[in-house]
Amino acid sequence: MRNAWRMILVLGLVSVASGMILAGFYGWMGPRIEAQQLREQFEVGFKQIFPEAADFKAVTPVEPLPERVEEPVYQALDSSGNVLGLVYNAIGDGYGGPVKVAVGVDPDQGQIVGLAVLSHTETAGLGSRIEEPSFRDQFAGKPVTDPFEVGRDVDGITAATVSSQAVSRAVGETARGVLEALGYSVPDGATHATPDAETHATTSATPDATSHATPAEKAGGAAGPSVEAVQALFGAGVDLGLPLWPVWDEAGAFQGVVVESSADGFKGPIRVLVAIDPVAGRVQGIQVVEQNETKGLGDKVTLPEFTDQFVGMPLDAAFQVGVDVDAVTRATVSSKAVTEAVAQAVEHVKAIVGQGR
Amino acid sequence: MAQYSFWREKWRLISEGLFRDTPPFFLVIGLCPALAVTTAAINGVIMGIAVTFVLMGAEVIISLLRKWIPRTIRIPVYVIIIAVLVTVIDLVLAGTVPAIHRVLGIFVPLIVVNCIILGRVEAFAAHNTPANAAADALGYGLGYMWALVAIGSIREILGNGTWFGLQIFPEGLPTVDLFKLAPGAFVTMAAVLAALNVIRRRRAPTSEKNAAIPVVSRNAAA
Amino acid sequence: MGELIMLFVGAALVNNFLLSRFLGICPFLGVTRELKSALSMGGAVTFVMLVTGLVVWPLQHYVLDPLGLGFLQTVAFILIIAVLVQLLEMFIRKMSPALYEAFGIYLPLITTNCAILGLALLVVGEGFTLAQTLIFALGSAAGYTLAMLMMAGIRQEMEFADVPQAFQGTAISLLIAGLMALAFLGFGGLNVA
Repeated sequence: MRNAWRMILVLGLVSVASGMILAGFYGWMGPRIEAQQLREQFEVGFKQIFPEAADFKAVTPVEPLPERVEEPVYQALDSSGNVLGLVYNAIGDGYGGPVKVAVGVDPDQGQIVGLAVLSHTETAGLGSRIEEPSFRDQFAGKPVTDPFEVGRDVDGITAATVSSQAVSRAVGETARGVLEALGYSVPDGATHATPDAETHATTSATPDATSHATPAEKAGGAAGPSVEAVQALFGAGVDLGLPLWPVWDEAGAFQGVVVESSADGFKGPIRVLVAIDPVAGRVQGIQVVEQNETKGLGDKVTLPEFTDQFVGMPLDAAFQVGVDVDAVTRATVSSKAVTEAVAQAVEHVKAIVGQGR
Repeated sequence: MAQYSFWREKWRLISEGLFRDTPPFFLVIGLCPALAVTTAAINGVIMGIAVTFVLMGAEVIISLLRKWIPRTIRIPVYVIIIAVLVTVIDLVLAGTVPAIHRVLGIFVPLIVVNCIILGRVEAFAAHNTPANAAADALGYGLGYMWALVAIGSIREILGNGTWFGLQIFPEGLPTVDLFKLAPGAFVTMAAVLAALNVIRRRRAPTSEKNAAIPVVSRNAAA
Repeated sequence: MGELIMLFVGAALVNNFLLSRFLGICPFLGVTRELKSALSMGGAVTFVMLVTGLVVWPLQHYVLDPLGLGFLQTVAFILIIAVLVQLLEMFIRKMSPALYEAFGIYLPLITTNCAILGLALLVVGEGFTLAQTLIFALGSAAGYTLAMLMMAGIRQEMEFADVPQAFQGTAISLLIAGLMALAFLGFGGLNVA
């Protein structure tokens, strides 16, 4: 019996000692591993896309990133701090398992800068040829709005269609979404309508107004001022609110403000422009500028039948579906999202006006 | 002269693992990593370093503690010590050569169950001085490394046309991709073993010729 | 459901433990002289793989992860497996001498079989759920046993073959394994069907 206790004691001591040694070692090594992995990702993957980049800085998205994207998204900066573009990692479903690619995007042009295959388990000699420049380079310069379909606008690798598809999907299903999630506007095809502020404020939207240019773009800057710049002016600890534009008539009389707001619908974010007349304390009108809701159901929130009910609502209304807003039949989630976006915009304006007085 | 015989003894121990019993060629153990990670020569070097580190650490520590470890529970204690060393090298590799660490994958933690380690600890370190144990570990560790590098070199040169990343065959010359895949690992290993069988039989005096084959097949059961 | 079936097929055929992942090669060459011992080893591995999956999954997700002790993974897993195999051996010897006769004697060999620790590390590394873990363990074990049996069958036939001197012993077994691996390569891509 004494022997058994001795055995247990020795084993216990050895276990505790080894646990402590490892804990100490891990505490010392852990941060180094993380730093090393980041550095490797930058040096090996991202530098293939942005060779002149000196540093990569993580940026915070304003909306959820697409599913295949691995957070975070980075800004590639050159040695003098200019933004060269965005770069992020995306995962595709290959033949032998996940395929991880780094995608570089030029947010101003809305184009792919290039991509690097970071890791994959494709068959050597066949699928593994996705690493070759002849395949990878064809993505450079493509607009993010392209379909990225193998056989259509992407040349697949002979006898490795699945691997080719994995890469083109990893790019095609993310590039546009990443730009949008970061608040950049994405041109829809070659040209896009530029509705003027007057019609925004007074008329309701039409159902085809699904993917217009966002007002952010119209207002000049692609995404407005950077948070850093604002923090430099107001001090750390401040954050940007919703984008807001004053509206004037031709005679120079103040008409009200337009606020851009968004809320999550059934299938992703719904962007809404809300026109508010703070002097009268009323909602002037709303326009759903971007949504991806179910065709024939949720997308009815863009119709005047729904949006018109906001016209003239007082700013102290409840803005709640079922209380003072009637939902689109069988599209409660979409209706609630739009209503919530309007409520947010109203809160915003009320806060500003209230402080002004 | 004592100095001389000390080093000669150490060299004898080192050369035993390095040339005579080199796993996995002459002792058919530790095959899994030898087949799995040898798609490139550099992988063999890193894996060899990892195994040498663990073997060296385990043999020296266990040799130092050999009088205090109760016989009945020696195996669990050995396993814990080995597992700690494996975790240490796993973390170090992750922090220094992450790309290769990813290729080696689970074969780094699997060094814990590599028969070479537990085998040498039980057969040698448990009954010998730390200095001798260190020499033994160095021999077997480096022996394993050259074996992995040899297989990795063959597979990398034939399968990729490169050696340690340097272009060997002119660019554009077709490579035998099979050597990078699983079957290539088995075939390469089989060819190397067959070649070594031939060499050994030529070298061995006539009386030992017949004994040469059973040695290999007996160890296969280990 | 379909996903689980694909997981099973993938583990058994596409990424066969022996022929594609190179896990557990030692018994593959060591105990495949005859069909019976290969089958017993396969049975023992199946048994231990299932139990290991069942034990390791909660250990990782309810103990190591919440406590931030991920770095103790290797140590914890190998200890758990060693204890598990010991208990299983004692249990089987007591409960069913017939079963013990069939594969109990192979159990002690299994602690140092890298297929078991490999399975434990894989299911945790892949982030499987408990159900996926069990299916993966079952598929891996089935593939392992299948490859063991095929190897044993071929080697039994080889008894009477005239193998070139240089290839006698381990070399010819590895060559056979190479050809089997080549055949199994054909299963690749089943997982995207």
